[in-house]
Amino acid sequence: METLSMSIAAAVAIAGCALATAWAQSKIGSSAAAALAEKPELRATAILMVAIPETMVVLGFVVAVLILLRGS
Amino acid sequence: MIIEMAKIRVLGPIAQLSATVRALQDAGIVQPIDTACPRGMQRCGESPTVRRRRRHLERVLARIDEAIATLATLGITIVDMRGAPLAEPRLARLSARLRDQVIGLANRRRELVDERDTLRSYEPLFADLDALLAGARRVSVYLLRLHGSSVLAELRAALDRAFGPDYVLRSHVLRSGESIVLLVVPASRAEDIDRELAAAHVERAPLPTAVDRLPLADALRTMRPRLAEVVQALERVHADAIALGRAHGDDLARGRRYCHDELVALDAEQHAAISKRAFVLEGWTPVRDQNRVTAALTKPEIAVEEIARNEWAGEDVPVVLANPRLFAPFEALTSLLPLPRYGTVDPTPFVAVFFPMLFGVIVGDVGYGLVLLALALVLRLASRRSAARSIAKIAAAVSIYTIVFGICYGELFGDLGMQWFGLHPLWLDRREAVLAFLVLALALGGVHLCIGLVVAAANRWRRDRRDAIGRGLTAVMLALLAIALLALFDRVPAMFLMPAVIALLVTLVIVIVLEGATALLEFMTVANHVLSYARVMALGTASVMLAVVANRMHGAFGSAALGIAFALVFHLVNFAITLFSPTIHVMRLHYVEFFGTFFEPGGGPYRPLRHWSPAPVVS
Repeated sequence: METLSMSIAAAVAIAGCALATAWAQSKIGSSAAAALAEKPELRATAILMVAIPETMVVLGFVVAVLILLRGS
Repeated sequence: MIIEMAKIRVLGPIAQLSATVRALQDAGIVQPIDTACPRGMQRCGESPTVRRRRRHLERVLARIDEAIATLATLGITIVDMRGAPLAEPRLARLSARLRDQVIGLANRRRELVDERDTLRSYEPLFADLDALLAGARRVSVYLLRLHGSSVLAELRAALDRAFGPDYVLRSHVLRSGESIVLLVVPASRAEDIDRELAAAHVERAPLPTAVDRLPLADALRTMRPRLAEVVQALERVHADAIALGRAHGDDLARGRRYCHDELVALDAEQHAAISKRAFVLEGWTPVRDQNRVTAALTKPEIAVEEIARNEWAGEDVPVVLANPRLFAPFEALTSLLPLPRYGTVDPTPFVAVFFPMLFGVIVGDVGYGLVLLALALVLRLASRRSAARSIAKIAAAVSIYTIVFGICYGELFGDLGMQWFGLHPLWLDRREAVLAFLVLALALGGVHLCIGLVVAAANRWRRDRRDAIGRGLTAVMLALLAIALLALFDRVPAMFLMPAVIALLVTLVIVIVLEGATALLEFMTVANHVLSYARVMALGTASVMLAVVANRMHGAFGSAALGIAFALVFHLVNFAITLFSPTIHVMRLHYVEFFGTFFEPGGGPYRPLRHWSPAPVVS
């Protein structure tokens, strides 16, 4: 039972972060694509902007790993 | 690194201004700037004579550009040419005459090409034309254009119903999908067919302009010889264009270069301060090239002096980056951001060290590293473009680190090395020691950011000591925080915990006193940035796990061949992800986290006065 709850907790941790990241990247990505169409010189900024929300899923992954390690 | 610049002042008699500017243009190492006007002098400005000359040069240049561009549409490429140009009046006359001639040729060619294309669309009907028109004297001929094959079938059916066998129809489908139809009917039925075609809204096919006034039967007979004439006329136009290019192409190329150079020189002269007898012109040049400036200005009445740094400190100095050959390819990565401000730090050497290292820590696989190295070598050998060669060099550096860390992790295409060759981790087994890998990633982040803070402190020491001390103390606080955490988790003796915490609090108070309450926020930001390096562990673990899953595939399917094929595809996908994802994330760690500690954008590019050079032309 404890293993199951640990697994669900880890899954929720990463799934929530992944959904949040996906939502943020969809918004930023579409705006960045529009900005790049007018100002191609912003490509570095656009890459950064799109990559920034990935911190959420990275931290979600770390939390999930920590939960699983604690469970084992 | 940012190379040292000098601000120089060139002085001389006013009569020598133009010659001096041309000499500086030949040297190509001075960027003129608006000269501060000493008492009794004024900005050179643009006299009516200079304005007229500028307009004249712009007109000539526009004509030359138009002639060259139009010649390009005729298939003639004018290659850039150095050397003495024609005299200005002759160049002006030639540019006007050539532009008109070339545009005339281009217009003629356009008309001929249109006519040829129209004639060629009827060409397949020519073969039947003589047979259809020869015997029958009293016939009516129709040339129709139909949209779609179904319309043609409907027309045939309608004609069959109306005329039975008393008509002849030949059709040809064009590339556009339209059909050209030649219809021959007895002259006695002409009225009927006119009525039928009008009712069905069938469109008559257009004839070329040269024959559109002739009766259709005569026009059709004329079109075949006309096509041959048009083709010959096109060849003559092309020959004329080649002759023009050969006769005057070099003059055009030299004239274009001359006009560009003169216009740039006129612009440069505007920066000078002048009196009735003398001129002063100021500009930026790299310190290493200062002797070349003096050598370029050989006339004894021209003087060059360096303006003391304390007179220009704080001005917007143009920035020139110059890095050793080993680091230079990484300028491709830093060039995505604005130039650093003069007097600050060029981040390229740091990127050259840490970018491949962090990439290697993430991917860390001997097999992937070797494949990447092979790709880098192929790109290096196959490409002649400098940008592609830079990417190849970066890929080579990255692959070497990947191989080195792959040996440390004992990974060759995941755990394949372990299974086949008995490869074992020398340092860290990433599949098992996830927590240790996380600590390694965060430690790397801490060290990386501490280096950035120390660089910022060293760089700002001369300009803003309070800020420099603040940056240095932030680095110290980061180190103390790391010691406290290590002591808390028994990685260093527990006796270090309390001293580290106390020192951290004391340092924090000092930083707040020095920089205000925002210093606390800045420290929290830096600490948060360290956490961001956890992505190194996340991506690394994902990479190795994907490789391990790929290796398990050969046993997961009934057929070994199918399993191996799936495993190869999975490795290929993992390799593609490996190329893309770590690159983006390591770039982000540099641009956001690392550069945030010391990078100061805002440098202007160095644009020395030099001779014009065209964009590369593919001939």
